[in-house]
Amino acid sequence: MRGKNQPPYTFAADLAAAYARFEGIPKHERQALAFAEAIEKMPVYLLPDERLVGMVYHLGERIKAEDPVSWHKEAEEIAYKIIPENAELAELNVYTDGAARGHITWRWDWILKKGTDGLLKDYRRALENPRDEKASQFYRCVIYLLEAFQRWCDKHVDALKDALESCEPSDRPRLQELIEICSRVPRYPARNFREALQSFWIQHIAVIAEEPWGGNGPGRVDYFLWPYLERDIAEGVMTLQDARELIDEMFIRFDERLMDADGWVEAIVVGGSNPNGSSSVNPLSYIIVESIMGLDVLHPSIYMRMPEDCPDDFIKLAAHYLLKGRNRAQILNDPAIIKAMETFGMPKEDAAMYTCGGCMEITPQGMNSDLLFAGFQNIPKTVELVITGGECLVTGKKLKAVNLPSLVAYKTFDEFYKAFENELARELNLFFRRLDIYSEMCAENRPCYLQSSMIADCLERGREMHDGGARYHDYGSSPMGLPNAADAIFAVKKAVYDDNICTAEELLAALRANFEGYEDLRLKLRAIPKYGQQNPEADAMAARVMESVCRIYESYRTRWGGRAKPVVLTFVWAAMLGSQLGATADGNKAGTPIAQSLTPQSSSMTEGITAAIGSYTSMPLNLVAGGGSSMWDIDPQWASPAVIEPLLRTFLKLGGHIWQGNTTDVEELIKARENPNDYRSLMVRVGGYSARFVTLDDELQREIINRRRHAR
Amino acid sequence: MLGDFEPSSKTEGWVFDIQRFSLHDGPGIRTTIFMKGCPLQCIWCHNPEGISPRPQVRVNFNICTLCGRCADVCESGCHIIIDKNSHLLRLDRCMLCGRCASVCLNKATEIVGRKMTAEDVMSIVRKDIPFYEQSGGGVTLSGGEPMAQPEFALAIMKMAHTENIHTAIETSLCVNWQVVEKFIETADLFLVDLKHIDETLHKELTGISNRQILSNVRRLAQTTKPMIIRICLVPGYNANSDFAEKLVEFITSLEQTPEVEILLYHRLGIPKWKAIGEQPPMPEDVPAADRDDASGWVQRLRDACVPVRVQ
Repeated sequence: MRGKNQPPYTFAADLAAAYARFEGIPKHERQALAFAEAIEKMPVYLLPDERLVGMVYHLGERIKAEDPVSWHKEAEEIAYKIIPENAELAELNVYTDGAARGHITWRWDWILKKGTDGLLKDYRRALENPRDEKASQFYRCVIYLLEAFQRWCDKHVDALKDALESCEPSDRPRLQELIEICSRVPRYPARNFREALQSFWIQHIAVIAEEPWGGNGPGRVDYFLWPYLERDIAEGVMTLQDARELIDEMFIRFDERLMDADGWVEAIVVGGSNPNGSSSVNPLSYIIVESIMGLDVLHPSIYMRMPEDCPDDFIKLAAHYLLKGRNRAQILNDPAIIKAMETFGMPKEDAAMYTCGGCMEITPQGMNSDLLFAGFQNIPKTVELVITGGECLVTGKKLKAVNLPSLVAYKTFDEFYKAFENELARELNLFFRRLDIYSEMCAENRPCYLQSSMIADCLERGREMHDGGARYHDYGSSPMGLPNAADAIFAVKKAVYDDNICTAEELLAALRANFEGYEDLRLKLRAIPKYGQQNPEADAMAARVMESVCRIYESYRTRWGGRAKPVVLTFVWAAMLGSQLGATADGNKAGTPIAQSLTPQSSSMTEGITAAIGSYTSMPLNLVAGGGSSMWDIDPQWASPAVIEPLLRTFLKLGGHIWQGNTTDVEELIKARENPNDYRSLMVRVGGYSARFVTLDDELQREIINRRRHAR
Repeated sequence: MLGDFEPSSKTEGWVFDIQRFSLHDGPGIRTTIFMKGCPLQCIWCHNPEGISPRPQVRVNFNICTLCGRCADVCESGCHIIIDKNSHLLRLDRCMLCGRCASVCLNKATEIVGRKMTAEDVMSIVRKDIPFYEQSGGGVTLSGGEPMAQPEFALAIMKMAHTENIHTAIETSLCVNWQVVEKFIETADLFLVDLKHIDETLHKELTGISNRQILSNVRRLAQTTKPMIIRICLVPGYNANSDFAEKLVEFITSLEQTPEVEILLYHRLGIPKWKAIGEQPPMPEDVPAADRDDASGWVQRLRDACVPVRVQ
């Protein structure tokens, strides 16, 4: 579909030119006017045979220009000035520097219900009686953006009318229909499914143009669109099959638009609960999952929410999606996640509206400000620093801001643990403080008025979303490697303080030597129970570490009274964060990849997947308001609906948060052959039964690998 | 044999492995208890560490680092490390002192077979109850021959049964009927491994007559207990039409027609024999069976209206 006539994306250049021209106007209005002009000037691009109008290739070829509303650089400078300790913590790889934007959703259903016209009315009315000058300015800015967006939409109607004049007669009905639809929406409330879909689609690409950060996504598409489709079906003007075709077309366009950016995530979350807690799974929820599986395109990302009274067929579809969804599936457990959000202090009706910001950042749709996945921390790195007395085992660099004693100095385990907690609190608080600075700079230098017009409660408060307008001002970030941190701390407890396996000095020497010459000690450390084996002590330590981390997060108050929200995921960083670690007290050599999210380390899953799920669900997941995900590698050779479905049902029943599915591929098996100790739990299906791969003899292992290779 | 025996949670027995998340020993997600000791010596046995009723040394050569500690501590010379590249076993001299296992830091050398009480076993079985509930699974006693430790096996079965956990027992039925009878009340499913119908061939392949086995199958079929007959197809040994014919004849003569599960011979047992220091009795050139080897059987059984499934 992507044609060579694709117009270049001139947004940045248009923005810069307009910004220059509006010199002399107060800063925020100048910014808003420049954005308004750039949006209005976005290309109008019609595609043959399309039934949805509007396309912007903002990730494709673009005309570069210096960003007149740069926010990042100044934020960085200020952050370094105010928080001098920040630089060394980032350099020691304790956490990421800077702050990523994006990973939120907005209430585009307001445009479906009210139209831009209705939204403009709200803002004009608010402008008549603003609470202060700042609010008045905010309202004016939103109005500029909404009007410009509407003018850009109107340009599509003009283009369609031009096309009608020169088209083949057979194409006339399609164009006439589109002209009718686009004359109606997004200006006025959508009256049916076609109009609602068109209204959704065109606002989506406009908001993404204003806020082009990864992880911003549509959220609850089935929830907001179903009432329109339901009415159409009742009136006999639309069928589920028609809806499926339109959804297919929309997903193809998502994919086409985003294909330049592998790893770019715009998430749609289907199923789930109504604000009163009842199931909101509807026929569109099924259609969306079936569509993405049928098309087999990369974008958008489709995740499934399982409500408390989940229809049986929806669980079956989730199992099917896990098995045949080519590692796309992510299954979310409503009762457990909503409970965690309530524990965090959110009312149930807001929590029930949660969606994923891109990967899995849990947030109620259209209620949170930006910076929801602002970075991550390598928690096992903090453990390393507390053990070594502030020395990075990879680079030899030393922490200067505080003087940490080494493990040798702690007489009891409790002293050591307290030191870990203190250092962690120091680091995390610096991290969150930095986010406050970035948030302020976002509000000051790079506000977003179109998106804010669809964020609760910007209208009522008269503030942009970064500026205290959003209902929740929570920052999200990921504490990564929690299982590794817990296993290392537990190993210290057992080896040094409880069981006299080694002295603190010996352990330190072994870690510094990356276990060269200390293989015996390393094996003894490996033999200490680990999180994931349903060993009560090891699991309790994992719970304790997670609780320490989560308590520090939730105790922070952001500049608008929100909190820091732990979003436990690892995404693609398991290997990178592992490479930043030296040898660890649980017996891993330097550079071993960290565990995925809250899934136990693969070398620790010696008792199989049921034990690992048991350990995971024993964690205090209620404390993880941003979602505590887990990744389960499913071998396609033994996985069948008869196995995966009960596993998933049990996972949901035991209160697991998020199931990320995966199938083990040949490459993993090859690695397992090379490092059998790390893959003791890997199951393979061999003829009449399943076996643990590493117990098979060499020849058989090769055979299985070859067989799979052929099977591909 | 069992007399007035009252199985209790404290009854002890020997277990050589407990495998959670078992998918092929009965319905659903199961925990399989592998119990030591077996009266049969099938030449294709894939759990040879289950034959002896005693604990024994086992070495997982894949994770052995050839460090030589086991050889250093063994007073009987059971472990021989040659040139730091191979680990030989001479376990006929083993006194089962356990020193080799205790010094093996990588847990490559282990004592396989440990004494457990029925309660010890159940405390592991219970961990996966939520998975059994969702999958229709439960506990399976296997081995070895679980009925060779009747008091222990019965104690576990009774406890699981009382706790509403689905119970299956995988057995050769090569025991007195009085023993089999005791299990009828608490077993929800019998998985009966049948090696051959022909008595002479059965003796050749397993070292023992099948008369008692067949009689037990017949009597068990007179009860209403669900039973699955499992047959391991070994190319060149029992995968022939003669066995198929005799099997059909036998099964159709039973009071209830059990389902037949055909297991395809695989070569996973071969390294396991080596791991306990023995030569595999099965020639190494016998290939694994594939689905084609079973197709004639499946057809023959289906023709006789016997439900059949290939694992």
